[in-house]
Amino acid sequence: MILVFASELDEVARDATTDWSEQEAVLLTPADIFCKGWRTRIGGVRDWSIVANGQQWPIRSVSGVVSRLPCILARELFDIQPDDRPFAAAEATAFALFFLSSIPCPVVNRPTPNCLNGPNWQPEQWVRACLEAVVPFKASCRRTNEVINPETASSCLRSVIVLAGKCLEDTSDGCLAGVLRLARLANVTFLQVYFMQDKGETIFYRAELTPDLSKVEIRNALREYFDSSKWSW
Amino acid sequence: MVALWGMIEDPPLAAVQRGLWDLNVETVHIDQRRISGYFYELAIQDSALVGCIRSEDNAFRLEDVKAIYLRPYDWSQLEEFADIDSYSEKWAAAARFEDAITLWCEMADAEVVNRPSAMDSNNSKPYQLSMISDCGFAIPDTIITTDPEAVIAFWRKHHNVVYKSISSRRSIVTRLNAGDLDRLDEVASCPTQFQRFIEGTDYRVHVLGNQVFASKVVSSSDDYRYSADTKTTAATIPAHIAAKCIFITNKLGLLFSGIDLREALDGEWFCFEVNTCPGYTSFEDQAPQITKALVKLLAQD
Repeated sequence: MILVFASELDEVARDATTDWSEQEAVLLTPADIFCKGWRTRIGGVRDWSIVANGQQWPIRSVSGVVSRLPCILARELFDIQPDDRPFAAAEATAFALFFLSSIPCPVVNRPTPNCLNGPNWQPEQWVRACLEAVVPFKASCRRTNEVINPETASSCLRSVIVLAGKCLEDTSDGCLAGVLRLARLANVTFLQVYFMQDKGETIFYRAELTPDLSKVEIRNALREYFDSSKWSW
Repeated sequence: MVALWGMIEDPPLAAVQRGLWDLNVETVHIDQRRISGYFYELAIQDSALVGCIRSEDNAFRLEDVKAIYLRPYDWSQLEEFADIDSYSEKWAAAARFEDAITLWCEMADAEVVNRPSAMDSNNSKPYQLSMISDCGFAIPDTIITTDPEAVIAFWRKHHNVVYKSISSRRSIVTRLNAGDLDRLDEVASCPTQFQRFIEGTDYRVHVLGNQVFASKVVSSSDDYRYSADTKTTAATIPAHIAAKCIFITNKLGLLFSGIDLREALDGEWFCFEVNTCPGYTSFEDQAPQITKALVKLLAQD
């Protein structure tokens, strides 16, 4: 079974679980964390029970996890009293970090202590990684009252998508090797890097750690990745 | 120059500032109560983060700062922001400055006590406890559950159990007793951590680099932080336990930690938590030495 950890409002994630139905893909939302049935123990992961889609499952039924939530937002905990939501969100995020980092099957991407689907890098940290990975970028400055990275129409952007060291998409003209190096530096399984054109040069624009499950190629690649990992409990 | 980030009424920050002043070390205090009034400019230059921070009465270049000691609080809970609309520009400016200073502390080519990312393991008790176990420390048998039946089984197994919240939000460690069984259904509404109670003697061990400062804690309460009769005295811990404390501090990427240990009645040492931003001044028996060591670390050029 593939678990898709996503917001209740994430229609794309919901659709993906339908597409993966033959593998029994199930949506795991923050609301599930507040349901009766979770049984976890530090050091005893094989005997855990989890709750997904409102139902209890043995952990051994999970063969892979796709994480689409960087954190759990208080405002999305609709079933919890508004005054209790900030505390509940902190507790649920803490629990999700423990769960996603402990489960031994493949997780795309593994969490870090400040982000549930990879490193919570700021643009400057990606730029420093670009320097190390020899990915072209444009030096920028962060100033008071200036909003960084104004949105550029995505149609103007080129992109490279990698999953577990393999290329899923490359419209960048030669940046694939650099993106693979970036993925290694960021210690992530999935990475999409957007590039923009600046004075005829293709340069780093931003990085995305959440797989776009609306794309059939990404869904297929994730399924193949989970299948090929031959994970066994 | 040494930068201090936080509120100056915070005892550890104040102690370190006084210590640095005693050594005539130049300091700059970035006041969390005034974060919406700072101006900044940050950029990457040759893989280093450079720039400047200015306020009405001060300005400094990031490159001139050789060490940073941070004791940040949740700025949104400070009284200065109590009446500020969270959609206002003042609120947004404060949030942007916090982002910027966190980034600087993360990337600064300076001695930073501690890097923000290294402090984050404290955000999840079970996550950190797993790491503690992986580092070779004994931890109490621990479950995290929303299942009342699992709690009852755990209680029957260990007889003596405590429970606590799992995030970094402070909660009082409480002993599970028979009266709690009537309201055990509440567990289903939020994952809660239950832990075998270990009877024994508490120790707080502060690690700074390779230095270890141990305090023995005597308290009548299950959670000594909230007890009026808590007393601490300087103590010596076995060398192999001190070595583990140094190891886990390094493993978590910290320069400075406050580790909660308990020596069980049978002599086994258990680790409960690594505090990644320790308020060490409440351990008065060791605080002067820790301040001295912290100041020395921060002041060295």
